[in-house]
Amino acid sequence: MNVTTMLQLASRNTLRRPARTAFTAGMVMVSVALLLIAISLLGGIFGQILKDGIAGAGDVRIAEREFVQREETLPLYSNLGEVETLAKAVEQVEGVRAAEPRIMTGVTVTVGEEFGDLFARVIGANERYFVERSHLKDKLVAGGWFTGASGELVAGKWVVDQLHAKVGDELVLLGTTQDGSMSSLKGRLVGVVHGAGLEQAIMLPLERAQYLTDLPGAATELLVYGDDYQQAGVLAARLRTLPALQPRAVQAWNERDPWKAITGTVQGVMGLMIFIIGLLTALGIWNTMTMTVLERTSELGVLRAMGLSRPRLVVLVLLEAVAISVAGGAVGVALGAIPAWVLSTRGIHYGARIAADATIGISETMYGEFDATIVTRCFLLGVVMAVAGSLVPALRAASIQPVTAMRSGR
Amino acid sequence: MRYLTLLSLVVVSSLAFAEDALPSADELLGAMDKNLTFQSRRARMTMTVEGRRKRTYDLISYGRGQDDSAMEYLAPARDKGTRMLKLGGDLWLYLPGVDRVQKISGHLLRDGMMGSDLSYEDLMSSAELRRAYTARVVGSDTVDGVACWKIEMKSHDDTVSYPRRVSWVTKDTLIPAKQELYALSGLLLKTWTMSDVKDFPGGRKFPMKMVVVDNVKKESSTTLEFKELEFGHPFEQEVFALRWLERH
Amino acid sequence: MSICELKNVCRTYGSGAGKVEALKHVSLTIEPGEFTVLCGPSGSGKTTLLNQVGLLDVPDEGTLSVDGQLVGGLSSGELSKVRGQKIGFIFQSFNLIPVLTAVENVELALQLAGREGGERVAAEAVLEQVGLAGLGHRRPNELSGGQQQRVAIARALVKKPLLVIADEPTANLDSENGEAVLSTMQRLNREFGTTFVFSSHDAMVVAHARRVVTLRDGAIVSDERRAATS
Repeated sequence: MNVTTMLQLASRNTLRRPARTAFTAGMVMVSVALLLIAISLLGGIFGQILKDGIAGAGDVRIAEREFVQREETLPLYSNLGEVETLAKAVEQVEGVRAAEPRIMTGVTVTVGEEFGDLFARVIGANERYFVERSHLKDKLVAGGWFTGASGELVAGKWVVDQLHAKVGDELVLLGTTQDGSMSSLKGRLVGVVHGAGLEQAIMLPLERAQYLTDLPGAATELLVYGDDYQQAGVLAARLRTLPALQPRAVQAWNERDPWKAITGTVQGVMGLMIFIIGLLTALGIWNTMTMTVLERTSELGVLRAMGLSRPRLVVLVLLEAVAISVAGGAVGVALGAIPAWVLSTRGIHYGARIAADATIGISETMYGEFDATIVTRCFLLGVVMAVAGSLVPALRAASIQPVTAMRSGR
Repeated sequence: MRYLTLLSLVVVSSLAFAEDALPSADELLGAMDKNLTFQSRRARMTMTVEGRRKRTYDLISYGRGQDDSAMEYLAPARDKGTRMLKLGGDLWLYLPGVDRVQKISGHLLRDGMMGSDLSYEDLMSSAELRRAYTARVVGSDTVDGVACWKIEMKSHDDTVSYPRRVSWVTKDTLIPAKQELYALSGLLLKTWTMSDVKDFPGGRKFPMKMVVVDNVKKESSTTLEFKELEFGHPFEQEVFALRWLERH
Repeated sequence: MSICELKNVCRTYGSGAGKVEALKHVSLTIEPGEFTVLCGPSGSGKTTLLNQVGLLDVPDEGTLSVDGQLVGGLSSGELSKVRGQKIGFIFQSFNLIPVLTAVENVELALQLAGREGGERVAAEAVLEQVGLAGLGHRRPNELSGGQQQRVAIARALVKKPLLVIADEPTANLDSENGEAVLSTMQRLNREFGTTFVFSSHDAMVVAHARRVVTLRDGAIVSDERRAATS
């Protein structure tokens, strides 16, 4: 039997029981539409969290191995020496747009005479990092940006609020050097920023952070930026071939926590969701096709008697299920496309408060992700569910003995 | 009863090794205290910390009795002008860069000062051992070829930094050439050696060099070397006051 | 060369208490051009025997060969192929594919026989031969019982098979249609020499046959050859 005839037979068969076919197609339609909306939303939210997070953390991060092993304690003694030279060498590598040194360390902050016990995180980096990567100038809510005068610092809004400080106040920071000695620094607050990951931070020019931590010419991390964060793995592999980086840890963003864990979680959630929706739909199709095969036992027997091979019979049954899912999936995609499109253009507004409180970067408005790839994937998922669900009934059909064509007649 | 035990010990050991009689623990501790504690002391010292990096500090220190002490950093430039004042159980730290005073209290006193193996308490107190510990002379031993009495000490005061100590006291100078300092759990916290003993007026002997190893922190040792040392020198009351800390 | 040869064939269904010996040591040879009927009461084994001849089933014991080829060692797929190419089937309940038109049903047989090209032409020609010219576009539910059975005959014959198996072909038809169907089959047997093997207990069918094989309790009790009566 040729393919045309099989398709013809399969599609005509779906119309034998219009109500049943409509119901089954309806199931496929609903699950495809749901998947489209859910994937679009999750993908969009996740993609945004990533982009915001990676903007500050770099597509690829270079650090000493020991630093990475003990990262929670931010061990200053494990640092990249002569970091500017290293940065220049890294910037020569193909695909690298910028390499930014960064120092992060914990301090206690005070406004006033004696040291208090407010804990904050100092981020020391070059101007270019703060402006072009973290977009801090856009996140100022009070005061202004560094003017280049000495002794300036910019702080996160939470820190400023906790200290009851205001622009122009002198802040005193107490931290430690890489040897564990106590170290101190004072600075004039010139600007206040607001946004995820910044609230509990104090921004300093790199040299000042180097002084505070006694890391002359060094930094704890070198953050590398390429053109496309999705290609970070490729960039990291290329960087690892650089001799200067051989003894060091070179990690793409998705090899580091929290994104590694988040990616894993999001993929897990998406996978689970797809699995559950897919399973339910496949079960529905299983049921439909089982009934269909049972009803047509003698007809299938006749086809076998007439010379239809088992594999072809399996394909015939699968095709029928695919025909239903193509119809249902097409409508499902159309249905789901509307809310998905709205989500991608208008987004969901969370509000500033939640955005600031979140430990991971969340913007105030989250947008869905909607493109041809997602639509195609959801549609194909519908087809896959059909095949999966109809596999057992199809195999059962194939095991029908041709004699049944004779017997059922009586 | 104790005398009898001591006598038999002496008999046995003299039969076996023909040794001197063991001194009483109380006597030993008293002699150590006489050497190491003071009413007043003025010192100029260098502290070399050999950890991941090697750093050398130049310090001037004033001590009064067992609990009061004042110190100032003279070098390196980064730390110059940093001052510490300990009065009883309180410690204040002055940081010149920010012109601020930080109070350090409680367990922080036992943290390594400037990331060294010596804690604030180690450096700035000089408590009498006899008051805090009950001791037992265990026997004789040698440290680097020098004959010592080995003495075990247990504190009856739980607030002490080192509830248990084992000291090797040199027989002729009565200075603890080596001390092992333990926590209540039995964990060895620090090893403290003293050497280069010099004579001082009044029969005092004092070591000009001390090396402390923090056994919990790895690969690190701190060496203290006294460049100038004076005992019994009267000072202005002012040193032991907060005014001194903040003076410019 | 005989069309089909059975030697000492046994076929048993079920097990234990429900065991049925449907065929007991049956031997039979079908020669080319025969118009043979298998008859006997219900449970005599005639359908079972027909299934064997039609390669819808294989024996438990004994040998079976079709067109000189032993079928004992053939796989299910190979049997399918042989059936598709060499054997045509006509069922009691017609068993036309309801979603295909008459001509499409006939074409299907050609496709399953592995013959591509010219199916439409051949199918229409055979439909004409069975007297259904012009009705090819109708679906089975738009045809009478007699007409459906004739489509079934066309379907069985379009691939010019060696052998046509018919199981109670007239059972669901009235006597007039039954007569018509039977004469069509006789005519085709005479004109093209196609071998027909039926199972039936319709006296009219038996009367038209040139060879009557009677079965009882799974064994052949008589095998009569005679001249055609009409």
